[in-house]
Amino acid sequence: MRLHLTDYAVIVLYFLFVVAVGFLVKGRIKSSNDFLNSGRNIPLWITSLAFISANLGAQEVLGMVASGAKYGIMSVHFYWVGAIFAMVFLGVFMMPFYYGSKARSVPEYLRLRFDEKTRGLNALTFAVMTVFSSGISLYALAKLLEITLQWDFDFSIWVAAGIVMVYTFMGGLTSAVYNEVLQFFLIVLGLTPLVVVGLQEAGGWANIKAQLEPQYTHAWKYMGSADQNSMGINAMSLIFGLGFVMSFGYWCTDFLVVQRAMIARNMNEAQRTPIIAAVPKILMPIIVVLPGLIAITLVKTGSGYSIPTGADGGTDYTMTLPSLLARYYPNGLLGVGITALLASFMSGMAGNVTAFNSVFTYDIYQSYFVKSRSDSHYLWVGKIITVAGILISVATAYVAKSFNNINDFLQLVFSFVNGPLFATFLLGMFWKRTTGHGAFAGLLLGTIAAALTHGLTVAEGKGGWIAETYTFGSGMAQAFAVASVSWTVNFFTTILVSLVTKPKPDEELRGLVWSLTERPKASDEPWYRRAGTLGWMLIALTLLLNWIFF
Amino acid sequence: MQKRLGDLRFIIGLFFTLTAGIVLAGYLTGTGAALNLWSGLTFLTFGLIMMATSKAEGE
Repeated sequence: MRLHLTDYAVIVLYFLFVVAVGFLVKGRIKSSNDFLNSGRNIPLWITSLAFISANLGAQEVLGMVASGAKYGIMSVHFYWVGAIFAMVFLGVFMMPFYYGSKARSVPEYLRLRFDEKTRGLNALTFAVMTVFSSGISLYALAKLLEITLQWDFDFSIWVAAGIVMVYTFMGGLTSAVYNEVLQFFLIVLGLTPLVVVGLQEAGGWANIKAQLEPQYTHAWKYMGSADQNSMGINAMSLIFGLGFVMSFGYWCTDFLVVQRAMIARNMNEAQRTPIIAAVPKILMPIIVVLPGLIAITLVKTGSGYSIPTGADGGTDYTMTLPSLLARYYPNGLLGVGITALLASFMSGMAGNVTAFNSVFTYDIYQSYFVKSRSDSHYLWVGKIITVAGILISVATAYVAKSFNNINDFLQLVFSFVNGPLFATFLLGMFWKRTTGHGAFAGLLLGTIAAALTHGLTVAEGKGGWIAETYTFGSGMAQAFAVASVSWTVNFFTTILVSLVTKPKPDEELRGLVWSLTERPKASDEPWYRRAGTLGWMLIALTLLLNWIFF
Repeated sequence: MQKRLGDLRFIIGLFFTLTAGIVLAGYLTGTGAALNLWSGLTFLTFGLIMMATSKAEGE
């Protein structure tokens, strides 16, 4: 792939704009609340697009195209099973607690609902997870630039990390959120032409279905048994492992995304943020899964296209999208396509860094190290942590170098941390008898169970570091199993320990637990402003799509 | 124009309008690829709509 002046012009223009956003926002940053929480004053359309964009990192864009090529249309399960239901649940049922409790972060909600040690454990694991994710985004970008622009891997990492550092350092969360919205439009508009021309060459959806084996073009038909599909999982594992445990664990409890809803202007907009975000999320497979299917169709029809191979000689699915860009995009538009990929990286990295910022400053530094200093002190700590978070991400990027499919790897990391987490929130929000000791024990044992399950099973050469007692058909199937086991262990441990420990009095739980909280009344609002009505409409649309592509 | 820089819609619109200019310039001076033309016109339309819907500070 050779870039020309016009391509570089688009890339430079993008870099200038993201940094300029940081400059423009800088003047509004007066306090730590402005820097770390955007002063809870961001309009709905921005919070919604930032909500989805924070998840639209390099692992989503490159990883999902890779999954589309590797597993076929079953990758849409990450959207139509693994995202929409959880996003609606977050908006309708959980946002009233997050927003209404006035917690500044998800770990802080855990402190209000349970106790300090539960918050500490969650804050620590979350901080590790975010820098890990950020490092993976960084690695993906550097690898991409190395292949497409022949930039030195190390140089790419430092340049890219430096730009994110500049705008997050100046404008904090607001700057990151504003750039996430710009990045969203760039990714969608920059990759849409690829889908159009790719679909045209592949002969349209009808020809893709005719050319590929049926398990690649049916989302559910071959899910009866793990042996029948390329993902190596059955419907029950998918629904419980991905659709319930992993997706609810991620969308409903991961502060990286929940933070975008928590900075809305009021409760109604906070509730509608994930629901409005679910609308583009439903359509996102067109941009990120369909190109993978187009790629394997082109390979099969002898078009001269092939998915690049990695250093080990095996297919490098992660490079599917860049290779399609090189095939279709003329210079000029190629610059837009490459910039869209850069944007996906920046979106993911900045999202992780700003979430890491808030959690470290509020939930670790202010809670355990320096409790009562002036606001300007915490503002500066937040800024220093921005720099530190990016430097740790750079170090983490080198760890990610040894993995082939980024998405599989990330799912595994999420399953360790997020897998057990949703059980804690589910019980904490909907069963007032749940205690702090129960939550802490459940989280701890759930995470240990996740590690043990991974250590005792193997898939695609990964895991089995204790003993190889069982082999899964794919890394994805192993990740679902790890998450399911950790969730179940957490759920029952929390219940058992809660039953033998003393719960908090009702007075301390008002606004934090379903049965003791007055729900926001939506009856006076028009239908399009009611989270519940919009949520049901989205669920109906999602079910319809699952049926159409069954 | 300066007062509109506080509105994110204007910033996004300006970015896509300038990007469209680059892509269309590439079409006119070099590649001649139809994909550049259609994509450039789409970016331009989107950019202008975003700028038109933006508001100046205080409006």
